[in-house]
This record gives sequence, structure tokens and C-alpha cells, in this order.
Amino acid sequence: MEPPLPKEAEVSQLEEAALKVVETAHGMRFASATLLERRLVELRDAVEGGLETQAGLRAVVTASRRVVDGASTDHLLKSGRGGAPFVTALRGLRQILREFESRAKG
Amino acid sequence: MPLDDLYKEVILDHYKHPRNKRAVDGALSVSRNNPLCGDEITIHAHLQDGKVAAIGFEGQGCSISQASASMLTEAVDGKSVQDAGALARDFRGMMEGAVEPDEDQLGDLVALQGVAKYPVRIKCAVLAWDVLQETLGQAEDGAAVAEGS
Repeated sequence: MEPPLPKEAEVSQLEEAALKVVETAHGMRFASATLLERRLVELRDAVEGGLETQAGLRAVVTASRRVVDGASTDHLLKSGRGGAPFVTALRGLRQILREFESRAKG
Repeated sequence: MPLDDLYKEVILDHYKHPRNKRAVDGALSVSRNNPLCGDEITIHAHLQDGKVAAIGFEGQGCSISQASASMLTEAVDGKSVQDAGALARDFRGMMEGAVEPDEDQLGDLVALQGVAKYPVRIKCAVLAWDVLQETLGQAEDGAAVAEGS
């Protein structure tokens, strides 16, 4: 049996977690903040595209993954000066994304 | 949804399809940046007979700063210098929570009210308006000098 597609509340949780990452990056003056925001907008567009199908879910997972990847490669984070709030926000997004990834097939 | 507070449809539309993103011939140009997130905005305003005869902007940065600049150019184009200055003050007041937004006056700009919930981003939203006020101030000073000479 296929895993159930995410509910609206779960999608909101994912978006909120991504927003938290981006806003924390802005607050901490990270060089990646504007890039992350662009990726957040792409995530929003993917969510707007709908999650009623596996293809829609995969688009959202890909867009979310791009936010995580962008955040993970920030030079401040890599140098160990990422700061606890940012690491916490990123961890939260990763955790929610893992659940989405487990439901996305292919 | 919090994401929609910050990234309303109208904001994203201006970000993706900025209006009046161009230089303006014979305009007074003023630039400023926001070191917080690297936003850069240049306002080009051609003022004639006490009115904003033509206005454009150039710049780069986050979606809020660029959308705000785009919305600004639409909002003040054709307005008297006095009204443009008053709008800039009202906009700043709205962002600081000091002024209850008047939708009739602010129009689409009301969409940026949600940004006020994110203190770090207020500077992004008001950057273009600060540049506009400086532009209007410089134009006024220039006119005063011309009158005095």
C-alpha cells in the first residue's frame, strides 16, 4: 500500500520550518539568506502546485531539499560558527523533510 | 499560514515581475544598501513641476526589498512631491506599527504590513522608501539652491 499523501497541516508545518530557517539566516546576517529566500519562494510555488499526486509531492520534497542544501553549505555553518538558533531551525526542517521524503516515491 | 503573512501573492508577483525596473533619463538617482542582507536599491526619479514625472529603480537583494521598490514606483508615479513624501511617511509608520494602514491610500502596499511581524525584515521593506525620501530631499535642496542663485 502506498504511504498517504501529506495533510494540509503537515505541509504548513514544512513551510513554517523552512521559513524559520530562512528568517533565522536573515536575522544572523548569513550570506546565504537571500539565496535561501529564493529557494523558499520556489518551495511555496511547489506547494501551490498541489500535493494531491506523487509528482506534486516530489516537487515539494525537491524544493525543500534545496532549502536544506543551501542552508547546509553556508560557509558560516560549515566553519562551525552557524549559531545554535540556525542549527536548531535547520534540524527541525530536516526532520520534517525526512517524513515527506519517506512518502515520496521514485 | 505564516508563510503567507510574509510572502503574499502580490509581493511575490512584484518580486518575480518587478515594475519600472529601469534607469530614467535625466533623473536624479540615489542609492543605498542594507548591510543586513545585502539589499541594494537605486531610485531614479525625474521630478517636474512639483510632481514625480517618471520613476524607476534598479537593485538586487531579497524579495521584500525588491517587491517594496517595485510597489513604490507604481504608488508614487505621477504624485506630487508632497504626496509622495506623505506616502513614504505613512508607509514607514505602517511598518513600525505607528499608523493604521489606510487601504485607499496605500493600495497594494498594505500587503507588506505582514512584514512588520518580522523585525529583521522591516529594514528590507523600508529601504526603497528611505531612498525615495532622500531623493525628494535632494531635489528640494537643489530647487532651493536654484531659487537662491
